[in-house]
Amino acid sequence: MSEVLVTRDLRKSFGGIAAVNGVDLTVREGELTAIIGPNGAGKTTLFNLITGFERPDSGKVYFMGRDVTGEKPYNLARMGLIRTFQIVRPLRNLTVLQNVLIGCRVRGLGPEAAEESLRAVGLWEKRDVLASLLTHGELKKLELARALAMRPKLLLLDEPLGGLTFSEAEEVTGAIREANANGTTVVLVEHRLRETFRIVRRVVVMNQGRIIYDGLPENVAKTEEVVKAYMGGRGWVLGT
Amino acid sequence: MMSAVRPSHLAGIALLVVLAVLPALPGMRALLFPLTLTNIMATLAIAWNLLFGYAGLLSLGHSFFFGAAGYASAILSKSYGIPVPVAMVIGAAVSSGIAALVGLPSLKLRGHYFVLVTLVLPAVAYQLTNALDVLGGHDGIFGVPPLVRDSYAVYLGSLFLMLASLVASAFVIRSRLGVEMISVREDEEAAKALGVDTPRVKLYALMISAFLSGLAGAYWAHLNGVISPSVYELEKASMPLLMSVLGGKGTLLGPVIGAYVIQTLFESLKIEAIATARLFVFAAATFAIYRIFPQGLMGVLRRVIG
Repeated sequence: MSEVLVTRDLRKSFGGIAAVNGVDLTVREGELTAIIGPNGAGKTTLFNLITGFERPDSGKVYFMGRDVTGEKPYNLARMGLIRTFQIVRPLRNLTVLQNVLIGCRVRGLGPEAAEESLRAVGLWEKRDVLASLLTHGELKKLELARALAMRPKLLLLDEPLGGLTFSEAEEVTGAIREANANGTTVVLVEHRLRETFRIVRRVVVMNQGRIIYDGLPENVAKTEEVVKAYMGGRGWVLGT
Repeated sequence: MMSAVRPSHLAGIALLVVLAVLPALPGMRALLFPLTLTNIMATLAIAWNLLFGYAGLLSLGHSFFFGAAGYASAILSKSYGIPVPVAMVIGAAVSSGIAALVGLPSLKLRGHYFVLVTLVLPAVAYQLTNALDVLGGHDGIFGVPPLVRDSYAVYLGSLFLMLASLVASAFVIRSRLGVEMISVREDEEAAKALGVDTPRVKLYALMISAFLSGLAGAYWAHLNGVISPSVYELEKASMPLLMSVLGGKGTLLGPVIGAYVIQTLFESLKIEAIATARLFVFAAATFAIYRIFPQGLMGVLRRVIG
């Protein structure tokens, strides 16, 4: 399988504190990967560096074999590197459908792409509702729908299950799994490990800006360094 | 099958006919000049609203683009004999070009730097035009040739200018650029993630807005026959803001309604005691309305019509 994303010795510090500290990550076509880790581990910063929202201090980012280090976020989005945000960022005074159509237009896709993605997350019935009137769970789904509608080559999801009810999380994980089954490479940052581990085939654990584990979900809890990172080594077993 | 004509379209056409004919009626000639001014200010407000109401970029210095085009058009037509309509378009293009030069660096900055730049522009232009003899100094440029001699034709021209700006705005808003402008207004970071080239969108919005402002300014210079540094004073800069907020920012017709209300009040309040405080009175009233109806008078109209 070809490499969709490669980072080489990626580094970023804020005020002398290393948020991302030499990350080497390779994501291959068709993978569904979770990046987990305690708060402050550098997961969102890593997303920001990959998607151009932050410039790395050093290191390289390659997308589809091309060096895209420091490339503008909108150029990366046009190339098919699409992301969502941890805190939802809807275009509040636009309808659900309008929110999704913007990305479609930019990528040269027709309205059928918007309909397909809204149906996938269960928001098609609310297509004419203003985004400002949606619940938190619906906004999370909208964020995912906007990203899916752009037919990403690589989809980076920042806490897509954050704040969702159990049934909403089921719907969202279903949509992510379906997108992946249809060929979209997905990397997601998530804290809800039980639901996440059910759908991913690879887990990357970050702590203090470094990758401390990269492997199968079932082996994560058996890795001492990971348990230490999460619970200070008190023997807590991750919720798999 | 013919598409149905909506009542709002019929009302609009009727209003236009009234506006076109009213000042030509016996005893109504006194309305010609104030209504021509109103149409020019409405054009300026439409231009300002395109930038702030749709792209979310606050400009406190649109009088700069208004005045720069006025000066350029005045010089080109008076000193170089260029036909007035051509000079007006070149003047507007000059404003748009300056907007590009100003926008390229300032629109890339985060925070309120763009607002500060627009605030400074008219102040700098005021000092420059006062100091440079080639621009007429403090007295400005006199004898700016008129567009046409007949004042009713000038009025109709201003009505056409306002309508053309309105149509151009509607065209922009409904285009892909317009949708991208709205996405920038709503959330610039989200827009970037959606692939919107936000610096380009903001720059185009500024250039189009400056061009329309420039057309208004050039028309104004040829209407008055004179242009001086006073064009850059605070009142001209704040008017499009007040008109748009009062009428309804981010709506197509709001700035026109706001312009007509404010200019009518302006003409009515030319009593000396009130005249000095009128800007303060308008600002207070406008923001009071904004607090109650964030969509301005257009919001009120929509509620009334249901």
